[in-house]
Amino acid sequence: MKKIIALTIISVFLSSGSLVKAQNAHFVNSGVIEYEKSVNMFALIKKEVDQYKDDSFLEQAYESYKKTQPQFRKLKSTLSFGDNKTHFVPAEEESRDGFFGDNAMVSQNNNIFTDLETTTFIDQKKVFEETFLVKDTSRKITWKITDETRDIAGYTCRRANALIMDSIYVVAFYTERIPVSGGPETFTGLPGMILGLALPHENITWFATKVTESAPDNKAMAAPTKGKPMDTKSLQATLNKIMKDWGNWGKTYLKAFSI
Amino acid sequence: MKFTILLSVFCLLFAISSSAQNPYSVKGAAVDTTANAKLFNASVSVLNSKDSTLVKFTRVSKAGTFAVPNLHKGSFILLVTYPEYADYVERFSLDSAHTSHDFKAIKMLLKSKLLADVVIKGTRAAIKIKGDTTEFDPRAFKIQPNATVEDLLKQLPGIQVDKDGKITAQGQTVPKVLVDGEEFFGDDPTLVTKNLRADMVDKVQLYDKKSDQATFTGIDDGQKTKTINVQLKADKKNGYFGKAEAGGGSDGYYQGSLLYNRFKGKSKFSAYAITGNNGKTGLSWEDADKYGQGFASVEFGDEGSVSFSFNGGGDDGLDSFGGQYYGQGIPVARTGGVHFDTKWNKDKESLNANYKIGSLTVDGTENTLSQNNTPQGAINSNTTRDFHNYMFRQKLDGTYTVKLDTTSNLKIMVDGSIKNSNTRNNSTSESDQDGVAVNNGTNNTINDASTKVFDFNALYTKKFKKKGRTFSLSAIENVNNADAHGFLRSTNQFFDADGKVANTETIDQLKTGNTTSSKLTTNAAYTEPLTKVLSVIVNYAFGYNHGVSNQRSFNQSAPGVYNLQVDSLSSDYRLNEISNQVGAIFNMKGKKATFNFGTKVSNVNFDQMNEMTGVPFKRDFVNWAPQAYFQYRFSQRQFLSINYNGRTTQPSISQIQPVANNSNPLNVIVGNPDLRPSFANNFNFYYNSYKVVSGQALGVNGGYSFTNNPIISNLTTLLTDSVKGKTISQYINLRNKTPFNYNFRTYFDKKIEAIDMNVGFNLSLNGSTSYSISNEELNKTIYDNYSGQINFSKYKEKKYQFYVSAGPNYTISHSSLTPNISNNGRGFRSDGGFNVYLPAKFQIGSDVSYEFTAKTQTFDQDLKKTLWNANLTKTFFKNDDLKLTLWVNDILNQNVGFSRNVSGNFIQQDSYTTIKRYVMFTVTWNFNSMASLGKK
Repeated sequence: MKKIIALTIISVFLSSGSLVKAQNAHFVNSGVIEYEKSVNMFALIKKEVDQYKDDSFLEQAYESYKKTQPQFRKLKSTLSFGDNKTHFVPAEEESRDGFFGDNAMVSQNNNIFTDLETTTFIDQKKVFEETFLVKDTSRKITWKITDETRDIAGYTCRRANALIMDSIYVVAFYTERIPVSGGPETFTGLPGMILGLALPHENITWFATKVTESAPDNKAMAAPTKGKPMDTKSLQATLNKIMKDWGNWGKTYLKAFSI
Repeated sequence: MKFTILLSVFCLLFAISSSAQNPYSVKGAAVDTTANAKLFNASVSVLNSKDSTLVKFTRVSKAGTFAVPNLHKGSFILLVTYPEYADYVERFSLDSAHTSHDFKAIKMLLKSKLLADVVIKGTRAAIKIKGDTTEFDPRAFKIQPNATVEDLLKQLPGIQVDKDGKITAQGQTVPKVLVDGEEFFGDDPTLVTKNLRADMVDKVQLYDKKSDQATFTGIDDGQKTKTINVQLKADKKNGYFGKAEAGGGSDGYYQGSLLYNRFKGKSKFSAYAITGNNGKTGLSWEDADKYGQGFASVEFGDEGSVSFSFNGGGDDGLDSFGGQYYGQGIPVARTGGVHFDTKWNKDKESLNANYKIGSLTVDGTENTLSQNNTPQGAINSNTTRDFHNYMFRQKLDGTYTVKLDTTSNLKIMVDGSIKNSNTRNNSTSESDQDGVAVNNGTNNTINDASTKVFDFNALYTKKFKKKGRTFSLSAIENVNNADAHGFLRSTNQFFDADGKVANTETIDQLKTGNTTSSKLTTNAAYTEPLTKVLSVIVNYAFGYNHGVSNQRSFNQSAPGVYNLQVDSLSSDYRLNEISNQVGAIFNMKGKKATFNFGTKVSNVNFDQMNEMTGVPFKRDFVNWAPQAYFQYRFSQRQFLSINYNGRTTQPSISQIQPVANNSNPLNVIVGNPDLRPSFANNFNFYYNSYKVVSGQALGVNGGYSFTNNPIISNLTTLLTDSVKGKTISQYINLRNKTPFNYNFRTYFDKKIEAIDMNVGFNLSLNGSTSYSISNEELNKTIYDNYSGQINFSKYKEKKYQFYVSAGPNYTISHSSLTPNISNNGRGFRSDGGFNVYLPAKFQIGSDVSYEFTAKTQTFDQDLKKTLWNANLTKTFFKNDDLKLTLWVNDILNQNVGFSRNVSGNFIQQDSYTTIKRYVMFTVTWNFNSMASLGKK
């Protein structure tokens, strides 16, 4: 018995260096994350132009756009988290005029509060001139965990892939150092906070630019309240009703407002 | 005591039974190997063994333990991770025999310590590397003799350990791959099926095989990860498409066209030929665009603003928008053209060239009824005119654009055209006053003209470093030479009160003319951003216009010999005009509001010399053009704009000192050298809102303009018998009256759910009050028009569509000199149409428009017109490449052109021949080299 104790004490001393390291892993339970959404406008517009192959006017407009506009359109947002709840708020964006200014995939339509304990959400969603307040249970995403990692905003993140709405491929990078299963927009359900998110086939990415640890801020965490009450099913029905006569163009809008 | 034990047994039983409903669970603890320290907050995830999908997850508690309940039967992977530690991975299964698994205390290993052991002990097979190698060979990882574990860690970013101590490491960090500037995240084949990958096929192959299609440039993005940038080569477009169409119809109507377009890489060549006599004289908008004849191009500004610039040309009888002929008479058109455009030098330089040739012949008859309001009563005239116009034209133009550097562009356009025309007019007219004949006559003119035009246009633009600071310089030179040669033959008889001929006037003259002009305009503009929201554009423009105009009339000295020059009808003018303009416009742009205001002012020196009389005419004048514009955007689809602009209008040369012209012997124009300019003020407002969700559109717009010191017509109608009905017109300024006109329109449109249709209505009002002098008395003419309309429409893609609209209108037309004559009238208009897709690729459609204009005192006949067209088409082949169309134009044969308007002292109604009923059958064939590839 004494020997064991002695050995233990010795090994403790020997590995004291690493032991100190082991206890130093710091986990963040509440704070604010700043995200940057980046949309590849060139790719999105090219898809539109390719749909109308014979329209040389559209193609001319696209060439002119490429010469004068940046390839990526950047939009900011913040995510406040604490007490196992998150509140995602997009920053106000200036309206864009011009030929291709009105693309549905670009604008940030959701101001969403998620309760990760009960996996429910309250989403103040802007659809054209209307605002809906959607309350329902969070989307159940089947994530596939990989062992690819990358560093985002100083945190090591692990990659997970998923498919939502049967057709949208999602790549997410989550960090175990933030034990909150939240993320930007409506993406949740991973063992850690999602700091990077990409929809590769929609040409959109979100990456965290800054993570600040702080005590939960009640004002920032307050759920949104404005809008016509809806649930996910009635929202889909409303969107379908508006866009059923819009053909292909409507499908893009439908997708953008459903994410 | 016994009771407590019993109770606890019961509770235990209950606990067991409740967990029996879902007994599948796992539990365990996570500790650090060496220190046995509890790893609080370590991440514990349960994944499906088959596809690594996440089932449940939890965190290790402060006590160092974890539990994952509510699992299900199956094979799983347990993944436990903690920062700086190797991932712990263990496979396990749950089934009815083994419903819960206890991992006991999982020993987690620090990554650095793990590698230190390996390096020191030199164990070879200890680590399995994912990817290429299966054995850990320190040499393969370039470890220096004194390398530290940290170095090794950098090269092995991901490390996993399982319960048997087997270590698996990831050999290399996944590099960041950019494709065309965008990061490429490899597709997971189990999630992304073939369908979704269709458009990304190239990219996926690229990532896996690093194909030679692309060029690689390694970029160090400063973030310690090497980034591979892949630039996909632009699609090499090669192919052609075109359209051939031929149609024949009743009454000799026909049409035919052939369009061909070939593209190779960045060059495009197209040719077209069109012939027909049914009103289609040019390419439709769609076709014009496809075949390189587009009449507009779009440019993007810095802020994403869009501007459309219209390519020279315009409507000169051969290019008409929409390919429809809106003029009077029956046209026969033959046009053709060739187009070529290409880009080179990394798209920095481009060339666009066109050649067009064509002829247009229009024949028709026009009838005009007019009422001349004089204080002594109204004189009504009825004129019938047969006309024949022929025009033949050739034009060659080229545009060269070059991007000199990243901030400056140069565009040069050159064009030249030759036009020959031949026109013939034969008209007979008669006038009466209160039913008593006043005069009648015939008038025949023939004219041949040949015009040559040359244009040169250069535009240079430059953007400076400071955002918003730009400079542009343009120079335009236009040279024009026209020759005309024709004859005027007319006879007019004037009657006295008894109806006897009091006087006869005959003219038989040869008319020749030559006009040459050279016009240079240059403009330099500079934009400077003063603050974040305020910017100013200043410009200076210089213009120089030089022209020579030589018009002569000759009488006959002997039959057929026209050599007696009529000096009073001949002139020889030389003109020099110099203008200087400066302007400044301020622009303020806020989040929702935009406001700009400013003015341009120009000084013009006009110097004209009459070479025949030696009399000069010099004039200096100043023109102002103030403007102000305000726009407020409530939201993306709701905005309001208000604008004002003012303009000085100089009297025209023909109003000041007209060239004597007797081509209409019943009207003589006299000049007025004392004319001063007038100034017009225009106000407009525009409000529009469109609600997408409720499908509702609403708009209100209107305008008001008035003119200060207007130039009005001073008409003297001669009433003595020998020249009764002849008019002498002169232009004068009217100081104390302000003529004005206004317009107002509002519309509302909404999708009605209940009937699944769009319903809307609109109201419009417009009118004017104008002044003129007739036989020295002031005449005030009021014209107002009110109309309203409701409409219904429905559209179902690829199924059917229809629309109906109808509404009344009312016109007030009143002249103060003839208060007893009222030309107020009501009218009604209705339009409708439908298009239905039938089975077997048939389509049927029809449109009807009905117009009714009630008679008035002066125009004593009701005008009714119902235009009904119908068509039936059938298409063949997968892409609808072959199309047969049968159509009937104006089924009821009621088409007649007419218009009514008010001008000065005259109120008149025009009617003219137009294309009426015919049946036509056309075959259209679209061919496309891309069709075989299945692309659409």
